[in-house]
Amino acid sequence: MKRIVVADDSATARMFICRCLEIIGLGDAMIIEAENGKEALAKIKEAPTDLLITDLNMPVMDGETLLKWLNANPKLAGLPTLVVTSAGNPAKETELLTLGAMAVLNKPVSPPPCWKNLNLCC
Amino acid sequence: MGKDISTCEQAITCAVSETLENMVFMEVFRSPEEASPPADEPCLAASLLIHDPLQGELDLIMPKELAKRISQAIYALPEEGLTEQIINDTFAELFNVIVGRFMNELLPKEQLYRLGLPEINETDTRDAETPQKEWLFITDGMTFLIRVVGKALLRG
Repeated sequence: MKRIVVADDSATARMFICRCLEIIGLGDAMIIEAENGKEALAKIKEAPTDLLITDLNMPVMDGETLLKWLNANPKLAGLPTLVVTSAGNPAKETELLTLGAMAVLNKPVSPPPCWKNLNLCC
Repeated sequence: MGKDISTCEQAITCAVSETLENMVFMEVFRSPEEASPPADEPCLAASLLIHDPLQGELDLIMPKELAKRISQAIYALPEEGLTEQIINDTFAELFNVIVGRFMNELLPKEQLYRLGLPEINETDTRDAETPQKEWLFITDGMTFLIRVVGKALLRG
């Protein structure tokens, strides 16, 4: 069973990401929800994780800082990560891709871009 | 100063119409200057700080009914499936997208920017002393207000 961590401070956004994952055939995955980057990092360290979907703009620890923390840890670097954002721009997207994100998706998240980016890693 | 407000005005008009048209297929019109802001009906108000490279703040004040219709349109939910939390979260996301697009319009493409998090309030608490400019928009027969606060943003 795939283990997927979904980090977003909005419960509604998390709910709809989970719904997208179900629609694209990942309904049987173990979804672990986190309200911010710090919480997500703790959940990722708890058990082997197959995928991280994280919001960019969050309180406590944002998605970009979370990516940097993952990169700094040899055991966690390379974890497939999708970043979702409601306020992105091309410069930020390039920066996030350089940090190791597989893709940057705009909110509201819908199933087609999730499927397009996840069918390779899940 | 007139030219500066015009740059800001173009950016906000573009951000609002693109966001609502792309996210919920709602056509948006600029409301005439003499129109009244949405004060007589239950509203949601949110503010969002812009930290870098310009400092300022944006406010969005919208009838709750409109926020509800937008939430329904975005998530294709029946009315009974809509909770206060979904409406508030969607309102906050919508505002985030508007502010992000506003900054993209205002700044060069390669310019990074840093935003705060949307804060939702039941009422509009902005004092009139800070430099600010308001614009009214109409969509789905309802009026909502966007306010840009701070000299740096108004200068564009």
